[in-house]
This record gives sequence, structure tokens and C-alpha cells, in this order.
Amino acid sequence: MLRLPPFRFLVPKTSREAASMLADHGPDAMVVAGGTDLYPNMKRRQFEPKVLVSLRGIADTRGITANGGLRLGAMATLSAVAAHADVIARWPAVAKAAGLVSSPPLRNAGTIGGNLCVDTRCTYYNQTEFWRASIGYCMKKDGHICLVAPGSDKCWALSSSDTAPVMIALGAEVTLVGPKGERRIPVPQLFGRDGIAYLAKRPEEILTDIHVPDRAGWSMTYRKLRRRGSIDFPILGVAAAIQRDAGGIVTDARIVLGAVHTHPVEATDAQEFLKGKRLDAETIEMAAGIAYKPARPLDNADLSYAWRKRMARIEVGRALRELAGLPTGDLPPVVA
Amino acid sequence: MVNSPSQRTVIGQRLRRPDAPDKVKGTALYIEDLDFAGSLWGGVLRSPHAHARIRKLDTARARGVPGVRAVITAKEIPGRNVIPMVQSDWPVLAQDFVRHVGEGVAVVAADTREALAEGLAAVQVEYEPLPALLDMEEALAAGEVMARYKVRRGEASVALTRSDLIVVEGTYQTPYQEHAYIEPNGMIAAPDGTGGVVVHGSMQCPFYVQKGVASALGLDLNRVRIVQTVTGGGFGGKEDAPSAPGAHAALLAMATGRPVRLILTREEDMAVMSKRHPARVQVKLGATRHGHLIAAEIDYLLDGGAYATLSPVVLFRGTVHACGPYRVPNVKVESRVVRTHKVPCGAFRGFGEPQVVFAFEAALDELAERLGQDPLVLRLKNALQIGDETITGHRLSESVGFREVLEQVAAASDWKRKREEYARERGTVRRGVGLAACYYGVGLGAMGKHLNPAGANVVVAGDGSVTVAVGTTEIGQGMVTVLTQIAAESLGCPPDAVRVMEADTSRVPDSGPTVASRTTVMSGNAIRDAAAKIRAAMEPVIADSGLPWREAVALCVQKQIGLAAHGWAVPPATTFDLATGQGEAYVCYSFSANVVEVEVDTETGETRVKGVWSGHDVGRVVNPTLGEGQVEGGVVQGLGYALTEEHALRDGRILNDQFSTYIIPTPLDVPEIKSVLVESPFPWGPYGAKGLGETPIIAVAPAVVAAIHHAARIRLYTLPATPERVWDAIRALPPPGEAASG
Ligand SMILES: Cc1cc2nc3c(=O)[nH]c(=O)nc-3n(C[C@H](O)[C@H](O)[C@H](O)COP(=O)(O)OP(=O)(O)OC[C@H]3O[C@@H](n4cnc5c(N)ncnc54)[C@H](O)[C@@H]3O)c2cc1C
Ligand code: SF4
Repeated sequence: MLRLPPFRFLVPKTSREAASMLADHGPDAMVVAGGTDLYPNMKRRQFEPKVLVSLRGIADTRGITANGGLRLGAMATLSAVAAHADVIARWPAVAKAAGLVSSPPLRNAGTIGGNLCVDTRCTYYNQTEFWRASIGYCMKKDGHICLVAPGSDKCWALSSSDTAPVMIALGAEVTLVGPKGERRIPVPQLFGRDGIAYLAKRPEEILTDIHVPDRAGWSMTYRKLRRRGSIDFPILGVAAAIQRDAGGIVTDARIVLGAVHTHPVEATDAQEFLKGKRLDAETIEMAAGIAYKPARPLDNADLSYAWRKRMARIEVGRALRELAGLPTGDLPPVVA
Repeated sequence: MVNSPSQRTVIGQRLRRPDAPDKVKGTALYIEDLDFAGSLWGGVLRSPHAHARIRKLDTARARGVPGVRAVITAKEIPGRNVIPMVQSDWPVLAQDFVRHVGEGVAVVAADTREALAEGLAAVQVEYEPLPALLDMEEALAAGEVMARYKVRRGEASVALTRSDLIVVEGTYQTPYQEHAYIEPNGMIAAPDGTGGVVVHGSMQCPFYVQKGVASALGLDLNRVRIVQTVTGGGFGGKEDAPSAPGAHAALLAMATGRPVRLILTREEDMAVMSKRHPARVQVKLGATRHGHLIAAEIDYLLDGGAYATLSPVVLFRGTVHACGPYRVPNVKVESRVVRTHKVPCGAFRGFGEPQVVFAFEAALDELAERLGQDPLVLRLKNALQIGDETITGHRLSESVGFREVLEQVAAASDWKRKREEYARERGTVRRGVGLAACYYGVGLGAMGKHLNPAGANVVVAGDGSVTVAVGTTEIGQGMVTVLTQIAAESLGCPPDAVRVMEADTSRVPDSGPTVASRTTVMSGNAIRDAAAKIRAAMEPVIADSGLPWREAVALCVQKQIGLAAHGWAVPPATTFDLATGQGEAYVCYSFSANVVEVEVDTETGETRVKGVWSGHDVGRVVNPTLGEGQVEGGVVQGLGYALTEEHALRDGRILNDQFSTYIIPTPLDVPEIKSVLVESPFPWGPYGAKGLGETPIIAVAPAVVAAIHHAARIRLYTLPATPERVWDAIRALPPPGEAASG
């Protein structure tokens, strides 16, 4: 069994206190929520914090409240989010994405906040210390070059959160608490533009709440491509949300791709293209043809990048057909 | 009542596994659960290079690390630095050269895990990297052949030029496969206080480990006692491979005088332990227009990795089974296993058959299409029957249930209707059914004769309880249950009086390995031999008194009758000529066929398996529940081989050494599996039984690929059938064809 390196475990009582602890210990400290991403990564020595600041002792961070908008406490587990009646009824894409993360035991422990902050992934990075030492370190940890794109000065590790694309598609915001105060930002601003500094928040800031606006009248979905019926991180995620007027004309559209770049990617051209149109088969085909273009998968995840990029087109098309009530034509979902 | 051994009462029943409750509750003690007072942590320093000269190996600093108790390199091995297997090429620890990534260079024992890690890091090794042979074709060109076999029957090359034949031809590639046992390899060795050593561990073949440890330590076999602990799966991966950690742990235990635990991490196990050989198979197959197979030419190449381990034997089995359970009058098989600078491949359920069977069955499916025949009809037409000869000229005189297997899986799966109906599908998602078959020589056969006999010691205690010791192992397959049934049946005692012990080399003579679907037959017959002796001793005393078992035993004890016996089983003799590849390769064969139903998403290339009907002629079903368990487990492993499992390598280093990247099926990826068990008794086997351990995995992948062809009209020549491969093949279909609508 791979073992955890030694660390100190701190259990603050408030978010403010947690943020201060993080600030005090600087780069030596990391925050841990459910630990389902952090602990396996620590076992592989992808990072070796000396201090872990746990969020489990902070009161009222697991709450899920739905009046008007939806407020998700960052420590709400993925299972709780996926099973919440209001979430299922009014923000079905959120429930679906949360319910598609890894496997039941990991969803019972993993949190929605941790899912937004989950580390980026790369074949050359999510490996044991022995493996990385023998193949040569890359710049995300201990090395100087990128092993996927050797000429690159940036890291291309993939954003692999299932819920982040949905949150962006629904226009969600997050509350961040620092030692001195808090702020609220739209979810896209949470993410940086590099696989290493993949979060744009300050290291000591803690994500405490996710706010999803009321989306009555919208149709929404999340589709995930993966090798198996369970466990796997997404090879591709597609979140789509569409608002139509009484006549069926698209008034607003959001399409966000996951696992194709260092951050979730909004297909802005396709969104603009859809506005003012009726969601028929032909329009959908054309929108899908535009939407997959910003995907930038590299050869650093399961299956070839060429295939993954082409699948973005197929899956966007299917997501939109699903919202339009047209047959998607794909394999029926596996029932757990 | 003491049951007369002829009135069968226990054979064929669904006796519950005696080991099930502990395994379910978590009270079973696997190697990592065992505590030995004062034990040290053992670990292995491994090569980061595929091929390099060891310029300098300095352990002085490592020895100085506080808490480090021993550092051992090749120089310090008291016995021979070789693990005895088929060839004497596999070192216990690398000497002068390393020949694959992960090869052991030094072993360290320390008081704590931290000291161990520090000790391993403090060993100073200077490597001079050398060019590495990483490709099997290049190795073949370089003449790095470990072993080669052939089969010559009739005139295959001439026959294939006949103008009246339809000939198909193809080159097939199959990947590495991981055993993915639930428990990694691990051993705990302890000095026995009298100059010998006791090694506990997770393993299939205690007598292999015994030879490896004795050779490394320079001890007689009676100084080396190997005890198998509850073993979390083997599938062949704990056949040859555990000799290495066994020897490593024993070296450290003898050097320190303390127990040493050496348990691999999952990642370490995946990176350095044995796997199924990747293969390249060329097939040329010809039949008459009516579908009678006339000739086959097969060139079979395996990548053996750095050391031979069991590769030659694996190759032999694949060679003699290369044309499946069919009559083929003209055959030429050329097979080779080559040496590369990669992790040594070794035993794996199916043992050299899945690769070549995939190729042959895929070619047969293509031939059926060319002939315009139903693949089932083509197979029935050529199916081996009693009186026929295999491609090695082995005339089959008994126990050939292949036709029944084919007919029953076809009926159970509604084959004919689905073949017709699904062929008309035009949507994005299309259904398909595919068929494939195989046969499997039970036991070690012509190549392993010296290992073939097996022993059993049966002791009846005064209270009527029975202790059975055998040299084969329970590795999750259900041996303990099946042998309990055979012991109860042959002694005429109730099954709950029987206890089958864990394998321990001090209890029984060398009984060969737990492999090759031989355990039920060999240990079963050894138990029957011992039981017959005990019954013979009891008979004069109890006559037909009608006494219940325990009272009958009490009476025998009173009369001072010895109620213990040693049983020994030696299979019938076979003859084989390696120069022509002709003879009786194995004593008898199990037969199998699968129908697989899939849905293929023609836009994405994803395949979902909807059902598997898996038929097997097993001679006699000793326990239907366990038989079905073997079938279901084997089929799941076969589905992984067909669809997701493969290793990617870079510079000889396995890139995916974790279960997040080495992808095996989850329960959600497994459809309903229907076992169809056919009984065509093998008279020499216990109560007619032959083996079932391996047939379930062999003919799964070709059936999946045939089903994908039925659904999407594409031929795949490379496993696994990943979405991208399927998608590429669909895109390559000629344009206006309806299949290309995706
Ligand atoms: C086998 C396996 C499969 C997985 N499959 C998937 C998958 O399919 N899809 C997917 O999206 N994820 C997957 N994951 C990753 C992970 O389980 C989930 O993303 C989970 O939601 C992470 O939540 P957590 O609470 O466990 O986060 P943690 O592991 O505790 O933390 C993850 C990261 O977020 C930071 N963090 C956590 N909470 C906060 C907070 N409130 N404020 C600031 N920073 C925070 C941590 O410092 C850490 O860097 C998988 C993991 C495993 C081991
Ligand atoms: S993308 Fe490059 S730098 Fe980033 S983790 Fe992968 S190899 Fe390392």
C-alpha cells in the first residue's frame, strides 16, 4: 500500500480561522475537505504539505438550501447534492454531474467544494514518486519541462471536475473567505489559465458557498464520457443550458466543456450562434460543429486526443438534442 | 450411514464454500494481516532503466542509516543467484546488468518504514544506460529467441495454393494483460531457529517458491518451509513471479535473524510483476466453398520480456492449440517467444491461448463472412468429435462435448434469430452477436510431465473429523470446497467432517503447481487414492454394520486400525515429438464456446456488452455454484481483455501502473452472464471431472470482436477494442455504405 507522508492536522472552527491558519503556514499548508483527491495525490507525493487544515470542524458548511436560488455549502457531499430533491427538480444538471463523479464511496466522502477545486490531471503527473523519478519529473512537480509539450512554458494538465462546467453553464458564483474578509466571484474567475496555477484564488482563501441562480424556464443537462460505468474521471464533460421563449426561440445558451483544457471551456461562439434560433436538428448540428473548436486536449489523458476532440462535437450535439427533446441516439445510460 | 463411495451424494451439489464467511466478514487473514513479533520491513531497490550496466553499487551509506538492519546485493547471496524456472536466466538480484525497468538491484530490511525508505534511497548505484530492445519484431530480427515450437501436419503451404479454396489472411495484435488480483504479491520470511527458514505468503505454487528460496539460500529443500496464506487471487500471476519476493524476504530474514515482511505496493506490483505476453499472430486459413477447413498457416510471436520464467511453456500451449477445437488436415504453426528489455511476462489464465485463439477465431469469423455462412454452422461443420484428430495428431477417444456446447449456447442465446434480426439494424446504436470457441488441454501435458504428479495426505482423527493436506492451493477458485466434496464422497463421510488445510510444503510431497486447470483432477485423484486406502482398512471392521461415520471411526479406533493414508496421482502417459509437433499434447481437453451480444455506438465507437452465454464441457460439474463462479470471473476478465485492458509503455516503462489508468471492468460494465455447463465425462478424472479454470477467459475477446463486426461491419485486428479503434475502423468504411452514417 502507498502510505501518506507525515503531516500536522488542524481542525479550525470557523472559515476565517481556517484561512488564517493557511496564511500563517504559507506554502507548507493545504486545505482538505473530503480528501478523496488530496490524499491519493499525497500518497503519490504529488504534493507534500506539512500542515493540513481540515474543514470538517466548521459549523454549517454542509447545508443545501433552495429558496429562489440554490446555496450549496462547500462541504456538502456529492451524494447529498445528487440526492437532494430540490436540486434534482430545479437544477437537474447539478444533480446529474455530482452523481456521475467517480464511485458511490467516493461521492459519500467527496465534497462539492473539493470538486470545484480538484487538481488538474495529466498522465505524466498522476503517478507514483518512483515512476516520476524514473521517467523524469515535469514542471508541475519537481521538474523543469513539460513532458507532453516539451517546448511549452505552460502546463497543460486537464481540468477534470465534473461539476465545474455545470456551475459555469448555470452562471453560479462562489464565496471565498480570506483571513480578513470574504468576496463573491463568478465561477469562471475561480480558474486560472495554467495547469499548475489552476486556481486563480489566493492560496489562503477558502471556498465556503456556491450560489446557483434560479434557472426556472431553462433546460439543462450534463453529459460525461468515460471508459466505464463508474469510477473514471471524465474523458470529456459537456454542460449545456438553454433558455427559450414561448415560441421556442433560444434567448440564452451556455455550453461548457470539461476535461479538454486546463480549465472548463465556454463555447462562446456556439452560444452566440444559437441565440435567436430554433433548436432544430440542423441548427444543433451546426452549433456542435462550432462548439468543439476551442477544445485543446493533448496527449496526456486516456484515449487519443484526436478522438477526444471529435467526441466533443458529437457530445455537444447530443446534449443539445437532449434539451430539444430529440432522440440522442446513444447508448442508454447504465443504471446503477 | 456410512455412504458407500458408489452412491454419489456430494458430487454435483452446491456445497457452500467453507472459506466464504471469513472472506465476507473480513476475518480471513491475508499476508498483510499477519503479525510476526519483532519483524522488520523489507523492500527492493529497483532499476529505473530498461537496460544498463551497473558501474558501481555501493551500499556503505545505506548500511549506515539508523534503523537499517541489512542491505543485500547480488554479491551477498549465499546460494545461487538464479530463480530456477524453465531456463536458468532469472537472477534473484541484478548482477552487473539490469535488463528491465523495476528489476531488483538490492534488498533492504529496516526497523521502520521510514528507515527502509531512507535505506533504499541511500544505496548508491551508477548505471551506464545501454540500448534497449523494446519491440518484439526487432528482437526477433536480432535473433533474441528464447524458445520456438512448431506443428507440422499435412502440407499446409501447398494446400493453401489450391484454387478451389477460399483463403483469409490477417495479422493480429494482442496487448499485455494484468492479473489484477485483489491482493498484491507479498511474503513474510522468518528464520526457524535451526538454520532453516519459514516463508508465509500469497501464492499459487508453494513448491516453486520453495525451490527459489532454497536455491538462493543454498539450503536443502527440507530446510525451507513454505506456507500459503489466504491468497487474494492469482490467475497465474502468483505462479512463477512470487519466487522473487519469496527469495528476497528469505535472504533478508536469514541475514538479520528476524522476520521480514516484504509486501509490494499495488503500483510496484503492476510495474514489475509478470503479465500476459503481448503477441503478434499471422493467420492464413483456407476452406472449401462448402466450409470445410483444409489448411492453416500460423506464425505466432510472443514478447517474453527480459527473462524466460515460464514463457517457453506458455508458448507451447498456444502452439498446439493454435487452430482451436476444429479438424484441420493441413497445418503449419511456427511459434517463437523473444527476449526484450521489458518486464518478464509469465503465466496467466489461458496460458498462451487467448492471443492465438483471438487471431484464429477472428479469421474464422471472417471466413464465415466470405463463405456466406453462419459462423455457428461453419464451426459445427468442423467441430472436433470423438474419433477425430487434433492438429497434433492426437486422436480423441473420449470426453468431447464440443458440439453440445455449441448447440446449447446457440439455443440459450437465441443466436439464429438475433443474427438475422440485428443484421438489419440501421440506427446510430446497433446490436450484434458474435461467437467464438476454444479448447484447453487439461493439466501440464507433454511439456510439464515431471511436475505432473500430485499427492494428498488424509488423516482421520478419533472423533471422525478428517484432515486433508494437498500441495495445490486455494486461490479463490474454490479448491477447498471441491476437494472437500471429493474427500467426503470418496471416504463416505459428511462434508462438514472434512477440513482441507492451507498448502504447506512440510505436509505433502511436491505436488506441482496450482495451474493449468489441473487442481480438481490431480489433487482430487490423489485424495481418492488415499481415501480408497483408508476405506480398505475400515471395511473389514465395519463391514455392512450400517454405522454412522463417526461411530464407524470410533469402532476402527478401538480395533487399532490406522486411519491415515498418502495418496498419489500420476496422469496417463502421453507421447509427443517436438520435431514435428505431433503427439498427445495433453491427456484430455475441456471445450468451450461463447456467444456475446453487444451494442455499438457508431458515432463514438463505444461498445457495451449486453449479454454473454458461456458454454463449457467440464466433464463433470463437482459444484455448480463454483463452476458458474469460474465462468463468470473468467468472462469478466475476458471482457476487460477485449475492451479496455492494455499497457502503454515509454522507454520500457509501464505508463499505467494504477487502477485509475489500467482499466478493468466495474460491476456496471458487466452484463448478465449465463453459464452453460455440459458434462461429457473424462473417465480418468475424479467422478468424470476435467478442468474449468481457464476456458472461461479464452474465447471471450474473439466473440466480442465478432459481435462488434456483426453490429458495425468492421473488422478489428488489434485488442482491446477501444472506442477510438472502433471509431477509426467505422470511419474507414467505404463511403456511401449505410454503416458510415455516423
Ligand atoms: C478513483 C477516483 C475517481 C475520481 N473520479 C472523479 C470524477 O469522475 N470526477 C471528478 O470530478 N472527480 C473525481 N475524483 C476526484 C475527487 O474525488 C472529487 O473531485 C471530489 O469531489 C473532491 O472533493 P474532496 O472533498 O474529496 O476534495 P479534497 O480531496 O479534500 O480536496 C481537493 C482539492 O481541493 C482543495 N479544496 C477542497 N475543498 C476546498 C475548499 N472548500 N476551499 C478551498 N479549497 C478546497 C484541496 O486543497 C485540494 O487541493 C476522483 C477521485 C478518485 C480517487
Ligand atoms: S501537462 Fe506537462 S507540465 Fe503539466 S503535468 Fe503534464 S507533463 Fe507536467
